[in-house]
Amino acid sequence: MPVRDPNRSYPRLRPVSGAPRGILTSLCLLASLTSFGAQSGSRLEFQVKAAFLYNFAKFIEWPREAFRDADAGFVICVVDDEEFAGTLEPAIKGKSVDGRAFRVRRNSSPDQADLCQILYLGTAGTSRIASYLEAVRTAPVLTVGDSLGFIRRGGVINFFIRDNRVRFEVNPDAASRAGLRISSKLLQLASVVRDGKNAEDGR
Amino acid sequence: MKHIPIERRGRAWTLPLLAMIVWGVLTQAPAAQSLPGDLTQLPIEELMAIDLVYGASRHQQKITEAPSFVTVVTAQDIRRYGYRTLADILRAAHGFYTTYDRNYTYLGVRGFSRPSDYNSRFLLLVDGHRINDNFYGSAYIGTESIIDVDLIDRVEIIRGPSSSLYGTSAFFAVINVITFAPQDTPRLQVSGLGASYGTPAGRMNVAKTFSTGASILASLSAYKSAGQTLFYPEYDDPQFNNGVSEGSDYDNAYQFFSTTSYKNLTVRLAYNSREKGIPTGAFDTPINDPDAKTIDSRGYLDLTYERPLSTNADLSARVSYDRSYYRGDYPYYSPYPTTLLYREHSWGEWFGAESKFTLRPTAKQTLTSGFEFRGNLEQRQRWQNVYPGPVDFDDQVHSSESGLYVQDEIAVSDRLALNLGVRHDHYETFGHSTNPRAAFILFPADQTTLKFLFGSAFRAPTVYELYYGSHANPDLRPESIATYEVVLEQYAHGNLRLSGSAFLYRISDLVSVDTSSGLFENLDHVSAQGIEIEIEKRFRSGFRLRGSSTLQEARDDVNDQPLTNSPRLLAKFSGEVPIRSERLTAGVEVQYTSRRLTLDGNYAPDFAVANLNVLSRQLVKGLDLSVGVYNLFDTTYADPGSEHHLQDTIEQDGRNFRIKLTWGF
Repeated sequence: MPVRDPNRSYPRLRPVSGAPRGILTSLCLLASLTSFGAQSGSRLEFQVKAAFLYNFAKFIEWPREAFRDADAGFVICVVDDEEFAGTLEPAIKGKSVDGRAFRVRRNSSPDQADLCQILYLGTAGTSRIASYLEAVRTAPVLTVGDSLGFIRRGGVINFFIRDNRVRFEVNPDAASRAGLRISSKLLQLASVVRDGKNAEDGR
Repeated sequence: MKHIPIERRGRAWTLPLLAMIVWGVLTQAPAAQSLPGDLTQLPIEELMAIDLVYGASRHQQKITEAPSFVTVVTAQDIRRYGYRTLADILRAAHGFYTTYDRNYTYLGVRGFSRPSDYNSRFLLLVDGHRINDNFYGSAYIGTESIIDVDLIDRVEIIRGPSSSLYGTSAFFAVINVITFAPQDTPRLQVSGLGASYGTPAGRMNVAKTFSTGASILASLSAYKSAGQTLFYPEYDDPQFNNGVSEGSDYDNAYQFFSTTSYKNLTVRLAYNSREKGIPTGAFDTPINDPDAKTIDSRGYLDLTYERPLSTNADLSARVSYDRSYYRGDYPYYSPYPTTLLYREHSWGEWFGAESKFTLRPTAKQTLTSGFEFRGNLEQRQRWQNVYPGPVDFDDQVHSSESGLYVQDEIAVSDRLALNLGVRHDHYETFGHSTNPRAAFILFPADQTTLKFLFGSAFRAPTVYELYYGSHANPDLRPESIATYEVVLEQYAHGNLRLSGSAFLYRISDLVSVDTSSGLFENLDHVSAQGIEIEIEKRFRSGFRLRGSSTLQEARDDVNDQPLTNSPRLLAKFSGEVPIRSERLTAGVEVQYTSRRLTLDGNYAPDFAVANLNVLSRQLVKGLDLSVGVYNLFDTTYADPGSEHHLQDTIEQDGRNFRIKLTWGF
C-alpha cells in the first residue's frame, strides 16, 4: 500500500504515437460469421431436455440409499456443459419431487459422481463418458447421455433427435443394475433397448 | 461529512420504484401462444411433440442470457490447468492480463490497468459478498486473496460495467466467485504441495451433512514461500548490496473459510492474512531488507437468507459484518547506513444489509429490485515516521452508503429480449451517482445471440483518496465510465462455439495526481476501443481447444497519448488433452501479451508464456496427483513498474514447478 510521500507524483500517461481504428470493419466480419447453421445445441433443445430431466425424476424411483437422508435434495450433475447447466438451473429452480428440492451441480469428478441422482453427460467427450459410467456402474445414479453408443457403453437413458423432435431410449437392464425403477408410462414413451440389442438407428 | 436528511433520500427512490411499477403494468404481455415459458409444466408426450426447428412459437424463453460478455471457469478447469490463484484464473480469461510487482497482483482488462490501484476498478464477489474493502476499495487476487482456489466451484467473469446492479467498483468487470456447497465436497480432504522457490503449502477441508438437514464445510489453508534471490541492475551499487535482493521475497499466507447451511439460511465465515516481503526496493526501502513488508488481512461474516415467496416471486436478504486490516513496514536510510522504520496501518470495519426481490409477473418478464446499505464503522489510518516511536498520525472517519436498483428482463418476442436496469447510489462522502444499463438481446437464428449493450458505472473515491493519502483531496467526485458493446455468440455444429465482441468506452474524471497542486484530482479522461474473438471446440474424444484474441487501444484524451501498461494485443490458447481417459489429463496454455508502455516512456517487451499441468486422478483410491510446469520455456519477461518503483519494469518468474497431492475420503 502507498507510503505517505508528498514528493512523488503520479504521471500515469506518457507520450507515444500510433492509432489505427477498425471496429466497424470487425463488426462486419463478426456479423458475416453468423451464417452458421446446424441443429445441435439450440436453446430450445436445451430447454426441452431440461424439462425431460425433470420428468425423469418424476417417473423414476430411486432406492432410499441414493439419498443421504430423508430430506436430502435431488442433485442433477451436469458434466462439461455450462450452457446446459445454465438452462437447467432456472428451469428447475423452486421445484421439487417427493419433497426433495432440485439442485444443479457442475462437473463433479467421476469419484464423486455417485453423489448425483441424475448424471447428465450430454456433450462430454467419449473418454470422459467411459470413466463416469465406470464410476457409477452399480450406484443408484440415472445416467443420461446425448451421444451415439451411450446405451451400448452402459448408460441408462440416451437422447436422440428424430424429425426435429427430442426422443429418448432407455435400457431397463442398466436401470435395474443401478437399482432404479422406471415407471411403465416412461417405458411406453421410450425406445427400449435391452443389453446386447442394438439401439435406435442400429448404433 | 455532510448528512443528507432521510426524507430526501426517500423521495429520490420513489421515482424509480414508481417507474418500475408502471413499466411492469405496461409490459404485461399476452400469454404465450403455444409453448409455456416453463416447459417443465408440460407432460412428456407434449415435450416429445415440440418441433425444434419449425415450432410455431419457438419458445418463451427464460431470459438467462446475461446482459454482458461472460466467461465461466469451473473447478475442473482450475484442477486441469493447475491454477494457483485467482490471478491465474483471470489471466487465462480472454481480454484479461495481470501485473505483479512482487508485492500485489493487479488486474487489467480492455487495455486498462494501473499498478497501484489495488484493483478498485473491479468488483470481486465471493458467493455474492463484496470483497472490495472500505478504505482502498481493494480486491486482492494473488496469494493475498481471501479465497483458496481449491474451494471454488466456479468463477463467473462478467465483463463491462455493472454498477446498475452492484454500485461502486463494478467498473470494468464483476468477478463472482462461487464456492462449493458442503454437499459437493468429500467428508475430509487433505491437500499438500511443494513448489519452486521454497514453497510448501497445504489445505484441509471437512464437510458434514447432519440428519436435521444442516450442512457445514470448513477449510483451512496455509502457504509459505521463501521466495527468490533477485537482481535489479537499477540498484547495482555497493550501498544497495550490488542490486541483489536476498531473503525479502518471502510470502506467508493462511486462509480460513466456512459455509453452514440450514434450510434457507446460509452463514459464511471467512478470514485470511498474508505477509509479503518487498524485495524490489519500492517506496525507497533498502533493496534487501527483510523488514520491508506488507501485511493484509480480511474477514467477514455473512448471513444470507433466500426463499421463494410463491411460484413466481423470490426473496433474498443478506446481513454481513466485514473487517480489513493493512500494515506496511517500510525501512529507510536516514542517513545511510542508519536504518529507520516507517510503519503505517489502516483498519476498515463495516456492516452491510441487502435485500433483493425477484418477481416474474408473466413467463416473459422478470423484475428484480433491491436495496443495499453499508455502514462504515471504522475507516482509520495511523502512521509512525519512526517505529518504535510516537504516533505521528491517527485519524478515522465514519460514513455510510446505500443503493437502490431495479432491473427488468423482458422477452419482447421470440427474437428479442430486453434487459433494462438502473441503480441510484447515495454516499455520505460525495453525494449521488445514478447508473443505467440497457441490453438488447437478439436471437436472429436459433444458435446465434447478438447483444447490444450500453451501461455506465462509477467508482466512488476511496477514503484513502479523499482523506488520508499523501495526495488526499476531500473534493473528489466519483470516476465514471460509459461503455458501448456488441457481443455475438454463435454455436455451430460439432460443439464449436464462436464469440466475439466489439467495445468502446469513455472514462471521465479518473483520479490522478495533479503535478502542480500535488493532490488527487478528477483529472484524466480515457477513451478506448477494441475487439475480442474467442473460438472453442470440443471433440468427442475429450479434447477441448480454446483460442482467443483481443485487439485494443486505450488513450488518454487529455493529452491524446496511449495509456501505460496497456497491451494492444492479447492472444491466448488453451487445450485440454485426455491422455488416459479421465484418469490422466493434461492442460496446456499459451498466453501472449504485446509490448506495454512504461511510466518512463519505454516498452516492456512483448512475450508469450506457456504452462503445462498434468493431472492424474484416482492414482490410488481417493488420491489425485497434479504436476505443473509454469513458464515452460523459461521466457524472460517483465511487467511495468509503478511510480513507487525505481525499476521501470519488474522481471517475472522463470520456469517453475509445482507438485500437489490431494486425498479425499
